[in-house]
Amino acid sequence: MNLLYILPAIFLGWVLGANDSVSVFGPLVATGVVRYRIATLVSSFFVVLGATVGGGPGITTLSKLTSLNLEQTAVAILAAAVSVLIMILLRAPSSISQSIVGSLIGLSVATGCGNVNWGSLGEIVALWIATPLTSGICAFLLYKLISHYFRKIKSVQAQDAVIKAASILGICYGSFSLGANNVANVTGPLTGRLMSVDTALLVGGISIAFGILTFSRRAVLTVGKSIVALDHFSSLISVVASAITVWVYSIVGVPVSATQSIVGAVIGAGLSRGVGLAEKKTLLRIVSGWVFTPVSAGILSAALFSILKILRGG
Amino acid sequence: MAWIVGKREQEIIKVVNEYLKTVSSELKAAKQLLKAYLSKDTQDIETLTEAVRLRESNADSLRRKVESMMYSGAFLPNFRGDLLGILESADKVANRTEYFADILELQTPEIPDWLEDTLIRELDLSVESYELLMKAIKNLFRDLEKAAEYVIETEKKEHETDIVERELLKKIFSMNIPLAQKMELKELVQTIADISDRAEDCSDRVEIVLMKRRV
Repeated sequence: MNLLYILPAIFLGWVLGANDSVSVFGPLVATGVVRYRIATLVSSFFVVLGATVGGGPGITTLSKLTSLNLEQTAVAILAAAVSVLIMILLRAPSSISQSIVGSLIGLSVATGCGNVNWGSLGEIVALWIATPLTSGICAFLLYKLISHYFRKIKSVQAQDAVIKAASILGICYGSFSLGANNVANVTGPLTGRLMSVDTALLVGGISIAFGILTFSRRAVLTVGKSIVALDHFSSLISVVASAITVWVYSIVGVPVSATQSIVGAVIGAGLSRGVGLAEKKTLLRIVSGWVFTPVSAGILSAALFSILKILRGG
Repeated sequence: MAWIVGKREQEIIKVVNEYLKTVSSELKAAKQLLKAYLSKDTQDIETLTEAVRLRESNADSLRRKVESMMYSGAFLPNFRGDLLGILESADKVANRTEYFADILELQTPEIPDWLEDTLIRELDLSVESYELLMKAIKNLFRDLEKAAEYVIETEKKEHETDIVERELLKKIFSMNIPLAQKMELKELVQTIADISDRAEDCSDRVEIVLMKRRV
């Protein structure tokens, strides 16, 4: 029975891989710098590495948010995964962090069976705002700095070769950061109760990698192509800035949204280059997804739990 | 930086340079053709017209070769389309040069003696426009700053050609010759100026590429 509780976590990991791979290689694949298949292979390897090597500090953060039991936690994780899956199908990449938090809170509030740590929630929500801002500023500054040196590369072929090589390195680093930071969202709520920290890191990492390998194409093309008209250099800067942001948060042990991070970074790099938003509608859709995701995940988890309760006769 | 550049890119650059050289030799043949025509050297006219055609055809083949090589994955996707656009645009210079040779061979226009020097000058300027364009394109693969300088030089040369073109047209229409001859000479003068115009159009494309790559 305990193993059954792990399945929603694996499902969430799979959805996370599909959704958050955007932050690692979305703009690079969308602009054709790196081939989709190569990006997914490299990324999935480094996600597992990042999860197992650097995922420790953040993995316990989410388990402190509520005091739900194992079954309720599994339902909350399932609801979070389904919410994000729906958002992917609607072509609006959303945040796994928001989904899982919304789901845990929704279940706690609706069923009255877990105490919400409102202080922790406040901190997490503040991070939802801080993440895209941080990555945006980081991308803006990184663009200014790197472009100064990039301009010294004299020929087209040398510039292209540098971008290609740096993009692969960027994917390695971004994937490592994603694994280290976001594995907490997948198996964090189950850690210490159902599995050890090491097992949680490995299971979480592999499930994210599986999602990247099998289901990431749709989300990758949405963010990569629609927010601002990206050139190859800006794509690279966005990916690196997002990776730095996620990595810094994972060092301090705070799981953040990789999706929010890349959206902020793409806009920051665009602004640094003097390019505004390509489609304000798309951005609006993405931002409204950030509000809609936690709310819908909360409602869904409460509903799922109620259905389970009814099925078991009260 | 050459050590990090892929083999496919190096091969494409080699063929692009070969293409540019072929168009350049086509233009040189056109210059010789005009001189042979003005000195009424019938045998040379035939040989040189054939040389222009042959080089135009060779240039076409080389351009198609670059196209097929390009989609094997060399360079980044943005630049693939850009480079093919530049070559297509440069090809219009080659086509116009061939048309110039056709006019001389097929229409055999009667060129008044006192128009000859200015006509040669006009063609020289058009050829120089192309030579500058060629340097601009070559420098995409050597030095982007120099490429930008050659783009500006091409524009200046095209402007010089325009002035000579107008001077020639003015002379032609002030002459006491039949209207048909005037129209025939006008076509010849404009065709030569078109070579320069098309070189400038192509340099505009190079300029767009440079702007797109500016970070």
